[in-house]
Amino acid sequence: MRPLKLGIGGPVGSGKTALVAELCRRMGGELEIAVVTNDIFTREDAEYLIAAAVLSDGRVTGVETGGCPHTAIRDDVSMNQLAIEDLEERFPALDLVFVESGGDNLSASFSPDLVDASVYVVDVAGGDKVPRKGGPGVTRSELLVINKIDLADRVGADLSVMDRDAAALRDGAPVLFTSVVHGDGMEEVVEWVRAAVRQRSWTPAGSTLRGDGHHHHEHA
Amino acid sequence: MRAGLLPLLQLSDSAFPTGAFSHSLGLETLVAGGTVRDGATLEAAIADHLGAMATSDLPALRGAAEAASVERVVALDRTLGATKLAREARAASAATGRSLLDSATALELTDRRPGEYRDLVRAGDAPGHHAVAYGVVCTALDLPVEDGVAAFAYAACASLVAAGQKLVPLGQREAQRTLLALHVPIAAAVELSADIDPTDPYAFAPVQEVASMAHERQRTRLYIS
Repeated sequence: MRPLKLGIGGPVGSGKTALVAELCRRMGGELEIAVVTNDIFTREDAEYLIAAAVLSDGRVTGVETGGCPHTAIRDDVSMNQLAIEDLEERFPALDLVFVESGGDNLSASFSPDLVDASVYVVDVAGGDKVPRKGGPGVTRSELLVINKIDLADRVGADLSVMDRDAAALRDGAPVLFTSVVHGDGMEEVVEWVRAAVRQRSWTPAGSTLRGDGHHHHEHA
Repeated sequence: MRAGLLPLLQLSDSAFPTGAFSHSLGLETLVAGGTVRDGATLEAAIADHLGAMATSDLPALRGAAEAASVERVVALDRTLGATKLAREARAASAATGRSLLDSATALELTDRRPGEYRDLVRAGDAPGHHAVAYGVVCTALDLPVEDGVAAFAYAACASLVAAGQKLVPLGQREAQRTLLALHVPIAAAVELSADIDPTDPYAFAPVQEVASMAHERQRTRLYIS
């Protein structure tokens, strides 16, 4: 069976790389994992994962995207596909490949040609209005992670508002609150990833709700 | 309407997935070093690329489109690879070629040659360089070779202009003026390529090649090549 390809998207600095590193640390014993990072300028994310010793060098591939992370994960996923094929060839027993997007805006989404499911990571310091803004990351990701909850008091973010707004837009797909660097909420994320890899099961993010709270209707 | 016009437009559109937008082919290094700093210097650098393409990629495209056998295509593919001295530029050509074949196969054309050639490339039996893959796809779409060569050269220039627009940076109007100015060298390259034996290609663009080699060690990079 081919490995599960899991997209990790979200705005700059929300904690995508930290989440991937923590998941590799916690699940590296039970799963064969590799990562494709899409950095805008450097191999910083790839090197971070190697330096954190969560994965050996050969299991982390960096793709430079010409400054267009959203293009590389949505419109033309060719370079990411080649990177994944190369990893699969070198590590035939892979269970899971994370495809980490470069930090992007709320309208970025993953192509179904590239990933099987996606996790979208936002953080409370980005403002508690972010879930309400909607966008495909918030509404169509199979898992929404709201990170850095330890900072909520400092930045005046109301977690209940974020929870309510996200739930209203996601049609039953899960939202998990974490502080990745402190480990809070990580067990639930690990559980979700484990079920995704082992059972290929998740609540589909089939929401047709848009940021204004109205359903999208197809007009013939 | 002219037969083949619409498939040609679709194939040469930057929205046709090949990953080409991730490549600068050394342009990023030339911008970092100050050699390329405005529309005129960008045009000169791209014209340099065109000069090399006219005697390597473009004749290979013609040869592949007109080849009577797949063995002939593979031989042209390997020979073209030998003209690409810089590792990144060579890898970029193979990666975009392979992706082009993938995307063309996904079109589910009646003509199966793109899928068959892709399988050869996947098996490691051919490098799958972009120009050769483009020639194979042109044949499958029944496109006139002359149009295919021009479209390939234009798309290569448009992609490099887009990279330069981001890297320098250039305004969108100057970028389009730069691309317009390149129409003359594009036409010259297309014409020259008809006189080159595709089994004996060559490329001379040392500034671009050295830039492509130096790019491997550049710390801050937007582009794969």
